[in-house]
Amino acid sequence: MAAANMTAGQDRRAVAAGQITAGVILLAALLALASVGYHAVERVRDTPVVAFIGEHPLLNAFAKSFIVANFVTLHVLFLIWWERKFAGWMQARLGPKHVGWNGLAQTVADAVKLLLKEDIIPAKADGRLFVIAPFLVFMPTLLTFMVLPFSASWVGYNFGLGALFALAVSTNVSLGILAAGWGANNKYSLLGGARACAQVLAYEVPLAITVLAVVAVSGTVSLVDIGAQQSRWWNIVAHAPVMIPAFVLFLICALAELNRTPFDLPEAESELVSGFHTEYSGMRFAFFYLAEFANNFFMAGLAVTLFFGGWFGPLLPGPVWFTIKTVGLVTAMMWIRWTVPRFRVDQMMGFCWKVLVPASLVVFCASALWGMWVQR
Amino acid sequence: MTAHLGTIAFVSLTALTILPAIMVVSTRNLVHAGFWMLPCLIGVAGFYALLEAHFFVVVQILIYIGAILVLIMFALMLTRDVMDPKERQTNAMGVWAGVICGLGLLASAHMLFRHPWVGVTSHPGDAHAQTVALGKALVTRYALPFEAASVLLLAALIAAIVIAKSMRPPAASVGCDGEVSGG
Repeated sequence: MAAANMTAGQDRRAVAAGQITAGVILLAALLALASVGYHAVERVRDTPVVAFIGEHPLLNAFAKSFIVANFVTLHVLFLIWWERKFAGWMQARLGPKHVGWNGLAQTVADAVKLLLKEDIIPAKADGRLFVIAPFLVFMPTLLTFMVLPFSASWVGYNFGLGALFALAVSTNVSLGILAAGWGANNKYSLLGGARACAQVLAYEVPLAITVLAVVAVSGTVSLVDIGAQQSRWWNIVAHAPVMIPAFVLFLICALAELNRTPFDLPEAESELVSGFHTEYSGMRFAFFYLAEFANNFFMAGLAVTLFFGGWFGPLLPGPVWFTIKTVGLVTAMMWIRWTVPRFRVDQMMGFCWKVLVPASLVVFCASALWGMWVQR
Repeated sequence: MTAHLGTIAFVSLTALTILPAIMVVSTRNLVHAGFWMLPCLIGVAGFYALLEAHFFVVVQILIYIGAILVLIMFALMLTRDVMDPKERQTNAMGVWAGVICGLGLLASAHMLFRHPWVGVTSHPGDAHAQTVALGKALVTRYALPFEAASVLLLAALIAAIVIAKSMRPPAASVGCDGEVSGG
């Protein structure tokens, strides 16, 4: 009996060791591939055709929008797979494993299924609002990626007010959620929409103030400039006394803005039957999912730019480092999601207005003083 | 080439602003009217972008779309009978509102045509320089109007709290047996 147990344990350890080794080899191969890809793209950038496109204002805008839109759509395929694998690991199960290598193509299969599904519009729904709501949710997401710097040169548009622009646009998701909640003409959807609206409006305030704290320390609103300043020390290390509390506040508010657990009240499955997207099916439903995961990546990317040194790191090229850090932070958000239970509605609003807003104001004032002291 | 692009952008932004604005006042569904304001406000943000007033583009999106429009929609959704077709959806004061707005339009057109415009040819500077200049102006030359605006907003905030508080029944009206009278 004991011997059998021991062999089983040894087997399991052997399997685990094998998996870890395979994972490490795979990760190394992936990073090498990403670096090679980066250099290939950098070489393509110097060709005359690309230079011509870069100089023409309209072609440039179209080309960049095309690249950003494709990135936003495609990286979500990976993120959803990763979230399901991670959730499986957290809950001691396997997650997707049949379609493709370790279920890697599962999301593609799901996307095809959703594309082929019937697009149902409820008879009593407000047709036009119901139809445009998914796009109202998705459009701000696309816009935010335009200013997210993957490196000093890998950025859709190097906007001087990037941080502010990203915040301003990302909060507009709430309008689409309201349109969905109202358009479906369903009491659960409406409750979910109203909750989302109140939540996003409330948590936008401390989120903006914590971003302003970073701006006060860096002396610039441009995301590229904020990133470029961290070539030697990350903000969260160089300005640790003010930036660590700022990051904690930022993370809490970002989770609330993203409607993720513990702040997933707008789509609370157990009380609202998934809230504002109860009535959606097919591709329109897929758009909500797409926007949710893309927003997640964006918020993590914003945090990486503001606190974790942006694209700087040893050996690997900038965009690869940025992606590694961002996916790491997204994973941390998933970790929180699968660990912490949901807030109650009244707790949520009270927590924001009575705790987060005063705390963020204190952090902002401290950052302003710290910034003056550092710059002197 | 660039001049043509500017004209095309101006015309399309004008269409994007005015057509939804007409829909806002003519549609019979209040919630639809609220959502028609979205392209209208985006169009105004586009005008700021065309003038290279970067800060105002962002503020227009952040304040008008992100806060005010969302607040309007939120208020609409808490209002009963918005979707009820029996409810009167048009404004009874339409004529007078039209007359007053028309007078305002005439007055501002008069001012615009009378103003000795100086042709601005210099580049307004990049977003960072503009923001720094604006920030400095707000705490030096325009400090008083800026503070006056914040006092106004603070007064509105306090008034909102007072109105919301007075909805509660006064504590004195609770009887001995715990019965709440009045309210």
